[in-house]
Parts: sequence; C-alpha cells; structure tokens
Amino acid sequence: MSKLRQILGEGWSLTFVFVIVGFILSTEFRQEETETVSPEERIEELSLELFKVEKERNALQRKLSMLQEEYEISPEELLTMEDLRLKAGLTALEGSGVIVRMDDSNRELRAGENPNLYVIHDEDILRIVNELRAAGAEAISINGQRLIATSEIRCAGPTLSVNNVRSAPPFEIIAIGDKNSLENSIKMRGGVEDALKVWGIQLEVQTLENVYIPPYSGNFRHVFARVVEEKILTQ
Amino acid sequence: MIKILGGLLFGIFLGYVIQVPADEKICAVILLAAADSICGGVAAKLNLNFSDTKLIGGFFTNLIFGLMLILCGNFFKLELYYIALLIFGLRIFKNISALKELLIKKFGV
Repeated sequence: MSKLRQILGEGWSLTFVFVIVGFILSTEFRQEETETVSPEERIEELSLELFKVEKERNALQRKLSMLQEEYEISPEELLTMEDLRLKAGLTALEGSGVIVRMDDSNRELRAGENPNLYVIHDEDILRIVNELRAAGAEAISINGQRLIATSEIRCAGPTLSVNNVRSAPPFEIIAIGDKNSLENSIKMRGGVEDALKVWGIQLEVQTLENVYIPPYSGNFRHVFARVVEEKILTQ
Repeated sequence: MIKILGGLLFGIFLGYVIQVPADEKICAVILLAAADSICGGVAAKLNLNFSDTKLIGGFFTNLIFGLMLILCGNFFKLELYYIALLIFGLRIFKNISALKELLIKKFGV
C-alpha cells in the first residue's frame, strides 16, 4: 500500500476516486447496450426457429399420411383394446411427472377486502390444467379424479367439482409427462404461478420420477350422441 | 492531471473487463459520492489543506451511508436514496461556490 502511495505520490486518493467513476460509467454504458439490443434479436431468432419447426412439422405430417396410404392401415386398426382403454382414461398410469399442490391464500384479510379474491376458483384450476395440457401432459388427475374428455371442472359452492365428485382445498393436481416442461409451464415468468401469487394463493410444484394417476371410475353416458359415418365438413 | 486521466481510463477498462450486474440506484449514489469527493478535493487543494486520507475517508463514509440508505429503502419499500442524492448534490454545489470564492480571492478581479 505504501509502495503504491509512493508511486502515485500525493493525490492518489483523487486517482482512486476517478478509477471508481470510470468503472461505474462503463458498467452503466454496457448495461444500456445489452438491455436495448437483446430482446428484438431474441424475438427474431425465435420466430425464425418457429418457422423452421413448423415447416418441418408440415413435411412430417405429409410423410405420415403418405405412409399410412401406402400401407393401407386405418387408424382404427392400429388401436388394440388396451390402447383404447388407455386413451379413454380407464387404466391407472404411472410415469414421470409433476404434482401441483394448491391451497387458499393464508394472507390475512384487511377490512373491506373481498375474500373471494383469496380463495382458489375453478378458473385457477382450469388455467393450470390448460397449461399442463399445452406442455404435453399425457394424463391429469385432480384430487384423485382422472380428467377425461368429458370431465368438468367447476365451482360447487366453496368446493370444486370434477367428474361430479366434489373436493375441498387443498388441491393436488397430478400430471404425467415431461416433468421439466410441465414444471416450466406453471413456473414461467408472467405465467399462472405469478398470477396466483399476487393473491397469496399457495402453489407448489414438485417434480417426481414416478407419479401414479388412478383410472376414471365414473360411468359413460351417451344418451344423445349416435355413431355415424364420418362426413366431410364443408366450411 | 495525467494520473487522474489514467485512473479514469483504467476504471473504464476495468468496467468493460469485469462484468458487474449494477443496480441503477447504487450506481447513482456511487457516482455522486465520487463527484462530491472530487469537488471537495479540488477545493481543499486550492485551500492548501488537502489530505489523501481525509478524502478517501470522507468518500467511503459517504458511500457507506448512502448504500445503507438504499438498503433501508429497499427494506421499507421507500425511495430513501433520494436523501443521499440530494445531500450529495447540495454538497457539490457548496464546494463549487467555495471553489469560486477561492479562485476570486487568488486571482482577484
């Protein structure tokens, strides 16, 4: 230190302060540069990638339909009985996935505040289920009720009705699929978790190597629907 | 003068080499604390009571108090760092007017 002082002589403190000024100035300039340039470039990059992937998908779809015509296998023949049961949600499933646990807000209400804002609604569950499906969830259950094509999710007073079975918070949504993309779909910035956290609703996502989803246990009613030949829809 | 310019350039170079995620408030407080110290230092030099230890000590105590204000402000969700900016600004103006007085006294008009 004293050697440094000797080299710089009197006034070393001013030099030191100027070093700090330069440091701050350059970090500020660099930050402005990186902040202004990157988002647009990123958007361009992503849209290019999307365009490429879409083209690839269309090509693959064409190839698939060509191959199906070539081998003359109708989609129905591909499905065995077990396959159909799996697709209808009548088999118990296991696989990697996530467990989303939700509970009402534990924030204390202030006077005049609407308590409705701080409890879980059917819409919140619907949004989460929607996100999970968009992220490629193969099977979903809510508090032990398997979601199938005709399952409803709606408020039933203070409880939630799924498959006409009511359950109260805490809710446990289990989904099988790529566990990382499922987790990300809930936790992404500006996503469902962020929106619900505003109201203090407790939400916790747990990724697991193995989760169990029970089969659909209700009955199927087809009173109004009849099976007919496939028609070509004109629009 | 050369030493000061060299120091400034060295600082700019350092800032480009070392990547620091800088907060706006912290940058503002450090910058103003530095400007305050520089003005005070120049005024003291003309007054012939310049001291390196005094300058560095003043700079760091001001800086630490300013940063503490930022921390407190973040904790209480208040913009307390304005106090630091305001006081630094006031001091800079005061030092500049003192500088002016000294220059007038020295060279006469």
